[in-house]
Amino acid sequence: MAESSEPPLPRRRPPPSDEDRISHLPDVLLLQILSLLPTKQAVITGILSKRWRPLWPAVSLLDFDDECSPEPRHGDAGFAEFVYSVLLLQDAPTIERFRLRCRSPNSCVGHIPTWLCHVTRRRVEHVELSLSLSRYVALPRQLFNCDTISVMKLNGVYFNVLALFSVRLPLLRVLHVGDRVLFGCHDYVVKLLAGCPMLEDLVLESTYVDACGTDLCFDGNFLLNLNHLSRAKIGFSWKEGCLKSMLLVFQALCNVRCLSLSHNTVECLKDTSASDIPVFDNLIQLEISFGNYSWDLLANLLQRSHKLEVLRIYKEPQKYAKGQEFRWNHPPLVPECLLLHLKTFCFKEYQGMETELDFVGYIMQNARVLEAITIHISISLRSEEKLQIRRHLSILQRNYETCQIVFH
Amino acid sequence: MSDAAMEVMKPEMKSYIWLQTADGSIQQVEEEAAMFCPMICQEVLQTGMGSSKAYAISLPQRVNPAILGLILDYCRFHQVQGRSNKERKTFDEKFIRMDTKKLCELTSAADSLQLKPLVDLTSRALARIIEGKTPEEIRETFHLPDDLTEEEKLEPLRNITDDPRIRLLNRLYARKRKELKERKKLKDVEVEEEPKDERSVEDLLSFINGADGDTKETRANKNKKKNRRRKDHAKDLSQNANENDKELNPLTSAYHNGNFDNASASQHSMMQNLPAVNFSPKFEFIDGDMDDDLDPAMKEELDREVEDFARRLNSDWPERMQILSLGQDRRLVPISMNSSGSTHMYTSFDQR
Repeated sequence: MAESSEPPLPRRRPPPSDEDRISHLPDVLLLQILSLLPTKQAVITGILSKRWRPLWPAVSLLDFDDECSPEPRHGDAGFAEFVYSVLLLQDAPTIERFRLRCRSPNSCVGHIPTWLCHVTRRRVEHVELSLSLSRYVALPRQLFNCDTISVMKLNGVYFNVLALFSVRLPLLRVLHVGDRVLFGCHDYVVKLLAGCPMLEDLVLESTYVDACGTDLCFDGNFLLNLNHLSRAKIGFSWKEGCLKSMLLVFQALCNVRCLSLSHNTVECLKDTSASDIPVFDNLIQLEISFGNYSWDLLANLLQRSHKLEVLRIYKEPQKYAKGQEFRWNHPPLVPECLLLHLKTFCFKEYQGMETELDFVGYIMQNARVLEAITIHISISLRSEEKLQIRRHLSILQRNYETCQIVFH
Repeated sequence: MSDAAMEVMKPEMKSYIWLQTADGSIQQVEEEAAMFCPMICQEVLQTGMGSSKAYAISLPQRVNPAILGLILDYCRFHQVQGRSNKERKTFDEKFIRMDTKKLCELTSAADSLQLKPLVDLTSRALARIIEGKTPEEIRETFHLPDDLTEEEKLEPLRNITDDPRIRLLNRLYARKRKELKERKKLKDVEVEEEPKDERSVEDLLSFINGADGDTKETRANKNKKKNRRRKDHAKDLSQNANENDKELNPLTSAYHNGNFDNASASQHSMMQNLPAVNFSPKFEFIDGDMDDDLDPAMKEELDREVEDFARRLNSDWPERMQILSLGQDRRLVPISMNSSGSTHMYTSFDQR
């Protein structure tokens, strides 16, 4: 406790600079270290010593999190002021990254659009937003019309503003739309993607099915050319009236090397006719997750992915548990990828169903260059069932003389 | 010599590079490991140095033999092609475990050898060390000199991790001690000084003694008198604070002033405008723990809470001290003796 009214004297003055190794590092390195810290902590270093005082304003990577806010009781007001202060004092040539996580955006709601406009004007390259759907934040037009953004990751936001303006993100390479995102209408996905011609990495995880009236849908003609798209992870759920946009998006994925489809998306796609499924010229890795098995879709995908080398199948446990399971039907022609390319096959949540056994058998029989098979048996099964499964699969393995099955 | 012939004769034959550290000592190092460092690689390729003892490559001054050993361990592991990412990560995590002093030296040395992966690794380690620490803790860990003046430390945005409860208690104790000291001092002084004395303590007691009757005027007077007295042993800060009487949002005031040495001024002005607040904020600047730069909103609330205490405890100072030291529930809604005042404060705060 403070005894007197004078500022506390240090007990022992440390020998000048001999012990202090870190301050000897060049500015560039100290800035590198500071940019690895959350902004709040970086700002704190401003009072360490004279050497450190001018450093934090030069850090161009900003990371705000309201959970580590200055004073949780004063909460949001303090946090908003903090962000404003940093944005005002920051004097690096550009703001390279703006990362904002706001779990209770109650008093920041009006400020967040301002902050986003500001950083786009400061030529931001990487924007990450993690907000809460409990408050509506109107994303500004500038966020979707920015020449410098190359990475954008959004979660906990509303996308209905996309109705108001077009999207133009010429440099966007990475787009992650998280699982808590509400599109006003699913066609806004199309609008969004149409504005990102250079997209390389796409994650669309939102599973919220909006109540979008079909009259909102598709009031524009969009061409989706995602020639550079190389990775895609789609978890999206389309509604009946938005099938047109769904197919547009699905067909735009034809250039990817790695594709991951969640069970929601598969459920929407399961009745897609073979002619609507594009040819995946570059697809090397396919991960597909089922609620109920959609074997036809899978068969079509295999037919159209000539170069597939890795196939991973997940059965979502407890999803659509009592639904009707269709049978695996041997396709008329063995897919080319099985004969020539498939090296790795992985099956998770194997439940011992006959139709699963059929499929695994089919793969083993036809995949000529298979190097690794991994089967994860569902943990909810009893041990006798598991043993039974292993026995069946071992028989198959011996019959078809394939590589060793690895069980998990 | 053909490769095959060489293999037959000396299956273990490797080529070595000669390196010289700043202290003059020379050592030879396996070529693959050494060439992993861009700086050494460049020297070898461009100048042909390093092939013999006489032509050893001089390493930058920041690389001493011990650190060089560490760097070469790193290089030896990572230059091997076949390793998996997991293996490399595991190695890195073990490698980076060392005291902070050595870590800093390693960062510096790796930077001078342009070995970016190692610089990134050490920077991340240093960032992990800094993260979550208070300024005092960081200074202690890295032996940083505490060479900023208290004024400079009062700049905004910085002190945002301290627990307000501890600060509140500290401030209360400091204030009480000061009050007691001054009471004692002034008892020895002439009688005519007495009224002033009473008022200083009375500021704290005002609510208990039925300050409903107190007009804002009297309070303003009290404040003025307090201010005058403060000037006697006030620092420069107080002077600044007095000049700025407008109610300014600290943010806008800072913006207008262009620098943040006047942040204290704006904090003061906010205080002045809240009628129920009797404590001159300058009081705070004379306080023991000068690292006390809370943002204005927090200062305001803390002062309010100190009043709450004073208001609620209808007893003499020694007893009050006792109660305070038990560290109570500050969250109770205060009995608003000055209802308009206090609610005014609360609403104005909530609207922020």
